[in-house]
Amino acid sequence: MDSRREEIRKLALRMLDERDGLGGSSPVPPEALPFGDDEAGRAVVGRAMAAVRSMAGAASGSEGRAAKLRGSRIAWLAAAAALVAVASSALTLAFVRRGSPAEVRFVLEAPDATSVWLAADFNDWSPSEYELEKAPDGTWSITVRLRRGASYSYNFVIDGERWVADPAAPSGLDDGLGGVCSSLSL
Amino acid sequence: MNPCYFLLAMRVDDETLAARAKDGDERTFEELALRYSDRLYAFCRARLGSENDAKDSTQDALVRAYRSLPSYDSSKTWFARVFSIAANRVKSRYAAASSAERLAVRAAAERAIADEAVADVSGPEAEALRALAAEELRSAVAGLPASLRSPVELYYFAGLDVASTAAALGLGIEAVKSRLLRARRRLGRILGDTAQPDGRKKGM
Amino acid sequence: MAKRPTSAPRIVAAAILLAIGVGAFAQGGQGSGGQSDQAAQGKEQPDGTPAAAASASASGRAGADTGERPSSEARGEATRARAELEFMRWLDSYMPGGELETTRARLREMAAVAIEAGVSADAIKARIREAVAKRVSAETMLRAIEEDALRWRWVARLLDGSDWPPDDRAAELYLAVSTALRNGVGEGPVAGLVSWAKGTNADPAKAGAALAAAASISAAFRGAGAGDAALTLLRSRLRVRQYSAAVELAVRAREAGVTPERFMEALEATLGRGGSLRDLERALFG
Repeated sequence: MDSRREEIRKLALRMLDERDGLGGSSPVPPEALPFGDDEAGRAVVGRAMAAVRSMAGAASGSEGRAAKLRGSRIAWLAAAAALVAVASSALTLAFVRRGSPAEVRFVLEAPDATSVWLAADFNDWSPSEYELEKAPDGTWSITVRLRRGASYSYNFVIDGERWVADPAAPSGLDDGLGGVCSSLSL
Repeated sequence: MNPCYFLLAMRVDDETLAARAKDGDERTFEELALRYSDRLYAFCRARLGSENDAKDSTQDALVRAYRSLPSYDSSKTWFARVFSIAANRVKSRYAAASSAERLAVRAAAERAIADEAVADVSGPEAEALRALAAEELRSAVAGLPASLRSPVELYYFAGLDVASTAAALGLGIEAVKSRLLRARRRLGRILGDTAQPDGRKKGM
Repeated sequence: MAKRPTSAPRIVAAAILLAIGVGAFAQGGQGSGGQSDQAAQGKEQPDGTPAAAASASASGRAGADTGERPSSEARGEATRARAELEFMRWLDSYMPGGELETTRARLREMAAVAIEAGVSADAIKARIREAVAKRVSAETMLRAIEEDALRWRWVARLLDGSDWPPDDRAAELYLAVSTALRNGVGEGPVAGLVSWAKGTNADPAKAGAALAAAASISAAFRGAGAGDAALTLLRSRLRVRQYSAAVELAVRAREAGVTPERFMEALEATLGRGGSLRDLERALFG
């Protein structure tokens, strides 16, 4: 078995050499990758697109943008008031379709932070996936597409370690883990 | 075709597609996804060691990439983002090589080639041999420090070129080249050292 | 890279590896206890009756035979046994390493009891992932999961025997329930909402959102509870996106010195009777 092991390791090194032989400025054709699989990648896209389409619903691109919600406290009220005012309007009912995605802009004022991330129940609370971008005025923001008709819990993570609730959200919730999280309903 | 020209053409196309997909065009997103799904899958498979897990993670990464399109900044390359999403998905599952499922696959592959000469380069035995070699690579790469592991995964397992690897990691090209060189040397030691039965113990 | 052989041998090789891999895994699964074996066998019978309980008739129809469980119950058991197995596998790969063995053991215990009671395994996983992401201590995580598990088992009893919510929507409901209870929403109101939602086949996401809003209203009143706010919201004409506005009104009310009882009264009198947020605002602030 030892000599077999040696052969296998030599083959492993040869696979590295083969890749190097193609040159650093060329990508490797996918079918030649060590863990490549001609069918798996394609099959996965099929499944991913099914999930994407169920998010997008029957809507085309333009309607998503119309439903932006802002994170500042005044804006919450204003938006709510606006919705209340036109609640029975046919226009509102037309663009708010059940199940279609909304674009939500999460904003945090943190001029002294070096990084801000959004961690939420819709991404398994990963603090290194949705990175906010800093604007010159010190506010950080990110826009995310989320399905309507549901509520979401979230936190901002400052500098990779401080988990904070959204100061602009109406009310914080005890997360049972010693912290406070925010909730938004779409 | 001049590789540089090919690379440039590919780059511009990705960003154009991503910008169009950002407006909500799912078909465009699907095109983008198809461009990278093979590499994404290979990348995840190299990390996770299981085909089903790799498929789940790849699908997951694509859906999340779609979700975060609204905040896509076209000055950053699209695939850099999707690979970092994928890396994040598989990060917590980079389990030790000795899980039951992988042992079973390994044992099966070893059985398949037990009585065959190594020189036989065709047929299912050769495939099984390559699969075992790939597993050895996985194992060896798993033992590398994270700073060396990431460029290796993108360059060797996902098969990206140096420039794309650098973009995906947010590093300069020279930095990536130097890390790849160091990683290659370490892997050479781990895999070439036949005195150590378990290469992973060395170089930790 | 050397050219790969044509795809046909590759498929054969993959099939060999898969077949043996699956076989090896099935062997590994046998050690997990008699109950799972029985359930696994039950799975193979077309009507779901566990083989061990078979008498002259292999029928699973309840009432006609003595001592045989209805096939739906046996199927439920099989599903739960599968869910438990799958959860344990997930836990081992998600949290590998010797140092975490005690933590894993305690999680396994809690999860086994919960899943057997019908709790959604995905909800348990979600909370574990959250705890890990937030980098809390193992002790904090265990305490949190333990508390949640008690709440979930309570809800599972309320949902016992019901098809609602569908399996793939259960986690979000369970999580919403534990959040609500943790933030002071009463068990009575939660039970009322669950019962109504179950009976009307409500959208689990909407039910969860109503619970989340009630949790926020209770939190706005410093955990004083939210009366029947959850069910009132769910039954109201409000869309889910308007629930946040209702929470905002609760915060304003508290700041203006309105008591939680007065707020609930106003909520019931307006939204509870088909009214709008405007009506609630007027009722609270004139």
